[in-house]
Amino acid sequence: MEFNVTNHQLCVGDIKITGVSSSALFLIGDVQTVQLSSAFDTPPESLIIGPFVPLSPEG
Amino acid sequence: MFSRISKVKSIVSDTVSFSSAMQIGDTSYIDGNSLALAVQKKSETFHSVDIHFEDYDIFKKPFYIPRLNEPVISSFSNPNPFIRVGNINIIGVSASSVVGVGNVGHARMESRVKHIREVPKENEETPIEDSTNNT
Repeated sequence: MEFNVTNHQLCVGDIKITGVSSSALFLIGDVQTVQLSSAFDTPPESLIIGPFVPLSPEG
Repeated sequence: MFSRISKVKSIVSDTVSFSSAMQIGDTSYIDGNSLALAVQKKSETFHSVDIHFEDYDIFKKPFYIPRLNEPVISSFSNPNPFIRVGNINIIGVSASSVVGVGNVGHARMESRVKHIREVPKENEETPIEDSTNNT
């Protein structure tokens, strides 16, 4: 496969960003290669509701 | 290929934290890595708990990384050698993130986040055991 790129004028106005987080990349410029990888885990098992065995009553 | 020049009028960031970087100028390579364990629980006190990244699968699994050498023949030409940007305002850069102005050779970024929530049973005020479950 052949991939030809011609970069003509590139003008951007103002940029407003709230946050760049978790190994994110915000780049103004050219880049040869980019490799991004991300995993986010919040499974149902991670929700622990209360002790399974009731605590022994006082007295 | 690296013939374009980035022109930024101004760049402002309130916070750059947790091994993040604001890189102005050309860069050979960027290798960012972030591991996060977020524990949320309803408790008056947070005791120091023995929590290790190795206890969770998400931090152990080898990651899928897109291959670098695709069978593509590429060519670039830059009749206009500038990338012009106005004012940049970023509130926060965090967790091994990178804000860059300039050309970059190779960039590899990796992020793994594990969320754990601990909430007491309804109508129960006793604090619950610390989570050391293995998921």
